[in-house]
Amino acid sequence: MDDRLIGGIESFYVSYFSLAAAVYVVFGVIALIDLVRYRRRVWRADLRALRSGIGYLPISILVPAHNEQKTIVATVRSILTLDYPEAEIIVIDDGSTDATLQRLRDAYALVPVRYAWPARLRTRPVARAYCSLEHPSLIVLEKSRGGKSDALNAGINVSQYPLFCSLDADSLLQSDALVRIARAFAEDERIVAAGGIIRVLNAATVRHGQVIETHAPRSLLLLAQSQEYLRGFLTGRTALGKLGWLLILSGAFTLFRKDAVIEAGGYRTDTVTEDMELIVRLRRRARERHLPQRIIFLPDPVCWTQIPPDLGSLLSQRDRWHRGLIETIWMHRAMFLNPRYGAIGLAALPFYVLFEALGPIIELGGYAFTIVLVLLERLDLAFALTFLGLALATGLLLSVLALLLDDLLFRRYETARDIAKLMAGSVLEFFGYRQLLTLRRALAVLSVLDRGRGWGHIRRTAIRPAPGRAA
Amino acid sequence: MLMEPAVLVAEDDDLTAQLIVETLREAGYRVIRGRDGDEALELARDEQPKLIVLDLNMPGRRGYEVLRCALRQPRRPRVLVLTALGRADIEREIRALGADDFMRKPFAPHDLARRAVSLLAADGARPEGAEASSGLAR
Amino acid sequence: MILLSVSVALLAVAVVLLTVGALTHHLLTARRRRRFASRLSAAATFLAPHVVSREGLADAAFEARRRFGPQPVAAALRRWRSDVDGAAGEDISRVLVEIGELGSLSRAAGSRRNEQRLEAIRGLAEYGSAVSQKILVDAADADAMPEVRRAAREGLLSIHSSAAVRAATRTYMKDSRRGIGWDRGFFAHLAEAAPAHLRELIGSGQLTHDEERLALEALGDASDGGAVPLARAWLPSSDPELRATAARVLGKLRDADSAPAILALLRDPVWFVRVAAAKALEGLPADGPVSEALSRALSDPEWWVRARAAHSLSCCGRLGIEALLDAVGGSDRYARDAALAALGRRELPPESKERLAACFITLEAMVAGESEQRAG
Repeated sequence: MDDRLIGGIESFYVSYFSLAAAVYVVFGVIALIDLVRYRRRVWRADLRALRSGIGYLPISILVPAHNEQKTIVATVRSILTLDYPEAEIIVIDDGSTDATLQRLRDAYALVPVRYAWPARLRTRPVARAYCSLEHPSLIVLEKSRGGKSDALNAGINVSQYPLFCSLDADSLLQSDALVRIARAFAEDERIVAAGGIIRVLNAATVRHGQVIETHAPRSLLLLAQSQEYLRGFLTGRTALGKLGWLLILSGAFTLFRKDAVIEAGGYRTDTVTEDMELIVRLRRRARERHLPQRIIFLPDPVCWTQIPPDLGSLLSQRDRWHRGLIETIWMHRAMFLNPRYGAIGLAALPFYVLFEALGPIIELGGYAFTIVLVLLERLDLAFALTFLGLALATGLLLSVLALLLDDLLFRRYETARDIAKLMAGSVLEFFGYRQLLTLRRALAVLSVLDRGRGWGHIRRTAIRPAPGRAA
Repeated sequence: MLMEPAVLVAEDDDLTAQLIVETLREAGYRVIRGRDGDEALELARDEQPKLIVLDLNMPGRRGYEVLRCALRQPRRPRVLVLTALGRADIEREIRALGADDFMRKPFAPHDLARRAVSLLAADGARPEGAEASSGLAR
Repeated sequence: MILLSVSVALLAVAVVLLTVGALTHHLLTARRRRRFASRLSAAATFLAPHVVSREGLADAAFEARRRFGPQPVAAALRRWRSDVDGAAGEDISRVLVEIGELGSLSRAAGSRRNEQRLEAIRGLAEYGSAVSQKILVDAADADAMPEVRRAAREGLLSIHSSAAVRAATRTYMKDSRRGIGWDRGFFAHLAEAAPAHLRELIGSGQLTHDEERLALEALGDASDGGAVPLARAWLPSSDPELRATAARVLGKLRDADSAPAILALLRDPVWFVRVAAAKALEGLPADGPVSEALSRALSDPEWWVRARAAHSLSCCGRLGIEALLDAVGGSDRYARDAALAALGRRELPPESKERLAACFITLEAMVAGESEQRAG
């Protein structure tokens, strides 16, 4: 192999990973400054005023559920104990084949109601609606299977309040999460979506529907994921939010302004990551119509959610996320490097494409390249080690930063032992965990490309939600 | 057996609780405190207080549930709800549920004492039992 | 290559330092926090009797500062100040001034650093006492940071003096950040604190049309009875938005005397005015004419009007529930749907529940019959 070629490839990798490292470190710094400032801005009196009902906006909490018989009653119970002046809960039973609906009926004295509502978004048919004789704010919809997006659209149709929150059936909201996240909407009418922070429920102790404490998980897989979430949310999302580059808010817990979502057409049912696609579409419409719009991330509202405890489900989750990412970017590729879309088109999308979407492929290529070099005995050991060191050091830096920020703001992990465990987790993350995920994500890219031929077809026949009222 | 009427304070904020407890102690009552809904209910069962001062906004079991459970006790205690929640219709809701009195935060300590005394005096005036409580004199 | 190695080395060093820093910070602050918490609790226990009895608080505060340190004492007093009202609250404010809290906060309020000023103004705002008024007015007027201005205004609003409220209003009107979001928040606070001033503001003509409406809604939310004449004056307005707002607010204020006018609005040509009227009747006492009018509204061509009318009927006590149950058994499909939906959302008395259950059984049969007819 030509020396120049090898040199060229080496330089490419050096520049790519140095750039990536630099970008993430800058994010870390931005996040640090922003979070330290944010901590001081959250005022007890603000929260107290909101709790007491001054200047709040009522919320519809949508809970799409499919075969959740084991947890649905507990989930609904914990939502009923949430601390918010005015909210309604809409559980959408998306064609469950188990006892989900039956458990709800028994627990909450549901009665079927002939309920009519204006169907502003088109969805699969809703068979019936139930109200609870004991909790006037609870509604349950029974509908044919249509997927999470479809369920959410049905919930949006039925909801009566200006804000809605999509909440997963296996998640647990902190009691003040809604108060904290709704605070932003009351004051700034430009905000159309806000996301909170997701934490790992598997390692938390729950009592009476509330998380009272959490520890660093025992299992290595959960440990690595916890660390990843912490890093991603506290350093990544914060910085992206501050820059205005947010394209992803967690599907497990996001608060939206209903009008904006309906106007954009609701959730799409033909994509695997409907939450990301909606956010990108909202941004796009705002730009196209020159509407001032903000989509923000707040670090203080907390949602606890179950994360995949075993390798199989973890890999399929990441596979889905990655495919969704690529699909969404492809769907909105008109925005890519298009000055008409401002920072999103010129900076955010390229960032996601280069470092998030294509990252695994490039990284995989890097491993392959290294192996080739070893086989050809052309490997510069010093280079390889420094390279590894760079990757490790950057990752560690961000992890430590995240832990520090978490400690500063939330003090979730009380003992030094937990922190040490998490640190160890972030080191071990690099030896095995990361590689597995990269491999799976790279495969996801390939699988998406493979189906590329069928895409144009899929897009044209996609179900476009009907605008306007049907009543 | 203690003859002083007991008052249960169910409030999770330590500092506020201290003030409420002190106010009631000054008025001459024996005061016990629950830090959250469950503790409050346990204490209500064990100590059978005559008056419960209840904050609706507590973690764990919501204040409403505590209210309902407390009112189901055999010797139904008086309940004074003290809360920061300011929705206009909340007072109506709470009285409809059976609470005897309602106060908003921020509150004036002497007002709280006055209401507690009048609620307990109303009880003492009933010709039910021989529980001549010494603390009611103030 | 050298560059790479150097940057790796630097990063590694940074990581090690940060790790050490993080862990030590955690351990130290944990202990510090625990110590502070116990001191705070001890100071509170020491001071509570004096706060309640209103005797010797100042001396006790100085003694407490000697024993437990200035910060815990200040923290306890400040927390109490926001919980406690009236004469006892004023006592606490006075003592806070005497122990020098006002001085340190006032100094911090002049700081060049934004966060420090914000915290200081918030601290002063929590006092809610006249001594901090001047600083708050200046901050609300001229501070560069909008959040500081907002915090200062809220502090002014919690001082129950006419001058303070006027200052808050004045500074708000000239604030560059006025807009729907801020309007809503400010009016809500003003309506709670000093509704008379908000009424004055509406009458002064300084507000835009939209702002007037928001202000009136805020008065309704704060249950300000004095707003009734204002709302009544808007009922016959030619602008449907104003009519709707007036109806909504009169409903929230439960003004029974306006019932006839609101009943008339149930026949208004504009749909959202009818919706507002239907919603308003929810709060008014239920009697014959009201439940009759609402029952008629159950057949309104607009879905929202039907839904609201049904909901209001369900709040009208026994008379309303009876009217709804009648509609369920009736032949108007739309009225039936609306009635069922509303009934489903109420906690019904037992005999109504039974009657409703009976209705469901016949309803299921009826619906099955209807769909068979349509299919067959």
